[in-house]
Amino acid sequence: MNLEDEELSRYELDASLEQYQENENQEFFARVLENFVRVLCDYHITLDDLMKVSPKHSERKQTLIRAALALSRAPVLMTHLQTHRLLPIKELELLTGIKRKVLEKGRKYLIALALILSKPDFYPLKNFMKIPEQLEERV
Amino acid sequence: MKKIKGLVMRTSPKVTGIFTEEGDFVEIPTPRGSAVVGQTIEVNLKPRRLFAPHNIIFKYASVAAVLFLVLSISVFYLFIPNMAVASVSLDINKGVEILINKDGKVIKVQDVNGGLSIVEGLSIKGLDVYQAVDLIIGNANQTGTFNATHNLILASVVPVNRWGTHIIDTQKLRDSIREEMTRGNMFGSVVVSQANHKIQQEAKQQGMTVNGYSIYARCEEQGISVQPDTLRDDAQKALADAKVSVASLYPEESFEVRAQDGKGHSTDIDTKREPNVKHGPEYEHPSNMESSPTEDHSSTNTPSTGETDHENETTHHTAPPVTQPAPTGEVGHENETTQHSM
Repeated sequence: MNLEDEELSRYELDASLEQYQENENQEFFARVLENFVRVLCDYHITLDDLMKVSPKHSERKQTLIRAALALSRAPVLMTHLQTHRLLPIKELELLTGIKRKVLEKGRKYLIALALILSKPDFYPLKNFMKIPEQLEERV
Repeated sequence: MKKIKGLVMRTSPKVTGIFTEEGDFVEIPTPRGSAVVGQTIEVNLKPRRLFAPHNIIFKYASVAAVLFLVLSISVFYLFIPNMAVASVSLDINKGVEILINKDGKVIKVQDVNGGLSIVEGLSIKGLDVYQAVDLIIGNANQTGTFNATHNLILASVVPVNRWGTHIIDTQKLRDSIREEMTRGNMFGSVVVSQANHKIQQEAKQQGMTVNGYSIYARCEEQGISVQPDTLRDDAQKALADAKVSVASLYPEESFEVRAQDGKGHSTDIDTKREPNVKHGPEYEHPSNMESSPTEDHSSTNTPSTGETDHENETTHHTAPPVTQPAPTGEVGHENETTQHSM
């Protein structure tokens, strides 16, 4: 095997490895997402709902991400959420200082995000999502 | 547009739902090729417009604005028939203002300087402007507004807005008045001119009728001294005092109607001449007459050696301004005829 053939072979190997990893990643994410969708169903939230209620204004989105971070870092509140399938709005309002109306309006998005940020099953999604550092610091 | 990574959550041939690295759940058109659930794709997300959340409101507002506009235009056009688009300022000793709608019909007659007496007992609302003017002139004749010697009828067409610019044909109005006067065996000088809103406003400021102000302005132009106060009360007297005739002031817009023999055909006061006698023009240009209000116009229209035109009722100002003194006998005859016809 000459040098050229060797290089070509290595390139093909890399490409196929990359392809393999991509496929693996995709399958892995597919499983995570499948699980995520199933868990959301327990909260009576569908993907359609999420597409609709996903905040359009960046300011509002940041507010809700901040609330979701606070919720995910408060075990008591998370337990309340997972047990009762209800968002502890009042406590969250006290904890974050965000108005009740804003929290209620973004309830579905908030639950989905809180689950992604808190449940180990969805850590791949948490890692995929890039939360601005400034938001993390504020919580 | 910035490229961001998105995780495909669900896909269909048309749309794909993704979870972006910025934490958005969005739907995008399915990219070319196949997108499978769990795949990481890069997408261009358009920067959202500031008013994006209010898109629905914006749409409704646009629809409402268009509807409002259509409604406004419809209402406007519905009410146009009741709007005055032009007016005819008519002075027969006293003045009235006839308001005309876009169909050329009379919608109102306004008093200018006590001229409403000439329309008393007349129902001219809804009439064609030409008919209305004829009716007013006929009524003025019957009620004795006209005098026995000489009369002056002044009419100015004033467009109120752009719809009224061509609504009244001054030539048609001139012809209509001429016919009415001939039919009613009336005589006098008639001026039908065009004015505008500015002149109308200035006339109001001066306390004059549009016609009075028009005379005043023309006299000023020609350096003729005319008394505004007299003009306000009696235009005919003011012209006589200034020793000027309407024909010289309005060479294109005025004409003279002479009294007839009362037999219904369109002849003038001097049509009963001997057929073998050569006469001058039937109607003399008013500019060649004296402007005295008490003058006998029949005496100015005398036979001459020129050719006779028995068919003409009026003297157009384009006619040769040559007149010759009339023989006394013929003048008497004419006067007699005039009296008979009255």
